[in-house]
Amino acid sequence: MSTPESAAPGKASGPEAPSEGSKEISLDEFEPYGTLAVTGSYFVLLLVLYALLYFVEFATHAPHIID
Amino acid sequence: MTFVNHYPKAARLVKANFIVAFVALAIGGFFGLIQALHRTDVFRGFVSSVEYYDVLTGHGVLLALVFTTFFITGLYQWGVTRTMEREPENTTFSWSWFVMMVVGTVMTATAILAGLVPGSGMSAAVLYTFYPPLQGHPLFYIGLALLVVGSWMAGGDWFWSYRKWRANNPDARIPLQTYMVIFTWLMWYICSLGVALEVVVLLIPWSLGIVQKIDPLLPRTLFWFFGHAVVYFWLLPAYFVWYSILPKLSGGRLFSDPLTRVVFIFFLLLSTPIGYHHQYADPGISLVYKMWALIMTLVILLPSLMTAFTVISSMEHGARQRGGSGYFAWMGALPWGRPAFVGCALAGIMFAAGGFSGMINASLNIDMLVHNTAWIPGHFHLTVGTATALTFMAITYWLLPQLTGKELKFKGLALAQPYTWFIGMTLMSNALHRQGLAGVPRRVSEPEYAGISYDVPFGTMAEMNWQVAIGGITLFVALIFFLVVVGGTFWAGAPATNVDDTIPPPLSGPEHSPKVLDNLKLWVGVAVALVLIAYSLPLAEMVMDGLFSPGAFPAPV
Amino acid sequence: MHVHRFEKLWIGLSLLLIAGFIGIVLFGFTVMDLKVPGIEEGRQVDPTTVLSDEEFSRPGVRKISDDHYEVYMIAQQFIFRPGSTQPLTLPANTRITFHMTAPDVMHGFEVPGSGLNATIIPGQIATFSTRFPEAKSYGIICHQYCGAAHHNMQGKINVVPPSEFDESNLISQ
Ligand code: HEM
Ligand SMILES: [Cu+2]
Ligand SMILES: [Cu+2]
Repeated sequence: MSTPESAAPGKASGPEAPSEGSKEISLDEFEPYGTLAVTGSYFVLLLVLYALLYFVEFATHAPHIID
Repeated sequence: MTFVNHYPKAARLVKANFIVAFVALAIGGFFGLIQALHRTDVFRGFVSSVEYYDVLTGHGVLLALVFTTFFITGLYQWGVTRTMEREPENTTFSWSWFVMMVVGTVMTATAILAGLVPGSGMSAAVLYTFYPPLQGHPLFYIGLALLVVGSWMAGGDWFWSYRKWRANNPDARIPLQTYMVIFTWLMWYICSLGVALEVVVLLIPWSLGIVQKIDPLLPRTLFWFFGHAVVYFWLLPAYFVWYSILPKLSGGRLFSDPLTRVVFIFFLLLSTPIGYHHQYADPGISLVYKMWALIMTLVILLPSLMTAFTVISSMEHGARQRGGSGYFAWMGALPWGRPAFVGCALAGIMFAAGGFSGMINASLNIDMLVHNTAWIPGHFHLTVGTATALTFMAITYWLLPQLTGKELKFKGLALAQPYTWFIGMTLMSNALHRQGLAGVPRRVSEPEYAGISYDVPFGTMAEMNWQVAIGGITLFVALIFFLVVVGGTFWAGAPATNVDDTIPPPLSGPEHSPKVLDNLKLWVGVAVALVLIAYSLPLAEMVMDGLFSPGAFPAPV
Repeated sequence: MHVHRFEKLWIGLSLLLIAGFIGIVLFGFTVMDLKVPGIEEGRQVDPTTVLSDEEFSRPGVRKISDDHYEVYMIAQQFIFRPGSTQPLTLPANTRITFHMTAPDVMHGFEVPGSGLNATIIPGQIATFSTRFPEAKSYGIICHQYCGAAHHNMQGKINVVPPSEFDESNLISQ
């Protein structure tokens, strides 16, 4: 995990210039596996929470409007 | 050399807008603190339980309408000026919309705050949704109308710059920031027409006594014609920041310019015709339109879910360029020590949670469990109250040096601010959500009734009240941090030497997308058609039986 | 147009999620009978004369059949009639149809922690049907801001077993 201090010198040398020890990643090289992992987890969480709230919190707490 | 040196006129305008926004934020935030303590019965010494509604009106109007609008006009002025590379076309015109918005705000705020002054004979405790027949002082409505018209002129100013730019660049793609501004404002013109008609045609004549009675359903429906799109009016400027600036703050580049454009088109098309989802519990709205709203509202999840991917992947790009790796570990390589980045990232995380509660609200029948309960403020303090507000505060840290030519002051405080806000909002919002599930209503000064006990699904009432109160205090502390940093920078910031204001180009640029995405006429046409499908019949029905009937007498508050 | 394959996958998942939610809601709506107000379209009334209207001039419970009662309720600043000054008594496990309106400003009707929730709008009649499964007492809260004493606007529903339901308080047709 890189600390903010270690990143700061790279920043000062200009935003386009990659900082010390870091690399330029082009469109073709970039595979956002991490993003897929994060959004995929969010997807599962949404489904589970939604189902819980709908079928447990809501549907079991009568009375409901039936017509 | 930075923005203020290249465009001194625009910089002054942006700063003026920001200052009004922050004054509104300070007052509105203090009112929020009062509410959090009053509702929970932790401290009820600031106002009476009746004056609570004056305070609540002030909180809603100053934060949701004034703070947001002024910050957005400032931010967008900055974006248009920098990407069109021109100063505002006519300084007098620019300041005239600003002054009009300020005058409107002062009028509305006077009407609200006068309610707290005994004997002033003026009040407007109608809340920021101002449903008639509750009636406020005419100044309240006239001021709001001026605020909206001023914002329309601001948009006119940017379209003016855009046309000039277009004349010099007939074949170029619209630069991304200006593109986002244009699409937000096209949406804003369409939706705010509803509230403008409501206020100018119905409420102003009625509040002045020119007409006696009012039909409550018509203005309510016109309000919600505007009222869902307004949430995207608050959100899209945060997306503007997340798409165009956050990737750079993360050390990377925007992953996809084409998909950004597609997302903004979606919002233009779908934001307005779904307002009925705020009327799921209403009589007088047919089930057909409630079903339509259900489906269209869930479809509008798509552009937000796409945004999640594009924004997170742009951050991941930054993290990997900074040496990050792994499926989740790369997040540790992000610059968690830089206030602007931290604020935007935490705002995004909270938005993911707020997105979930929004999906529940959208879902027709389960909305009956939470409609008008504390769940709702729990939800929108994550969206407008954090995704928008915290992003705005965070990006202020990055913009101030460009606008003032000064170094940010109190950097430590600036870094502590988003973390503090995040903690405060976690406490307040989770508790409000859970209270809502138990049926605790929103918009009440004393939500615990003598004869009613709440069946709390998780936790206890007392525990949730404490979380709301402590959360509210923590949020207020974070707000003070923010004001100190901004005030300190304005008055005591050291001259900045090397302002970092560049934004690297996207990984996949506009050249990868079809030109039709930039066809404004086409998308406006489709948007208007969808609005007509959704609203022409119900509105016609409400108007046909007489504009003001079935009419009820006004009830001044 | 350049769209990364992960992004295509995500868009697919998103569409699946959206379809899933719509499916769950429609399933609940049709199969589980979880509905919203406004299925039975209510009529309109003149709010300035509604207090002398046929039904709303005598708010209360009426019998339609052994298994169906209806309630005419007025919400006004800052009481429910019936409900606030004396509780509304209803039989359990029986179909109840509510008709509610207001002569002054908007109000709300909420039974906390349940699926009963409606906006009461002057000029419109909010109509919906329900069944109370248990014989116990339920609260009513006005959850639509209606003025200075909004926080005092509450009521009570006493649900009793059908055998104990006292029909002598019914409003005659
Ligand atoms: C200091 C931070 C804040 C605190 C402690 C706070 C607290 C609260 C509380 C407790 C309520 C519920 C009141 C009720 O329903 O009775 C509320 C309502 C609301 N808040 Fe905040 N809030 C804060 C910041 C914000 C921000 C930044 C925004 C938007 C930009 C915002 C927008 C709103 C809106 C629109 C309402 C609804 C008003 C209404 O129901 O009429 N708040 N706030
Ligand atoms: Cu909405
Ligand atoms: Cu009320």
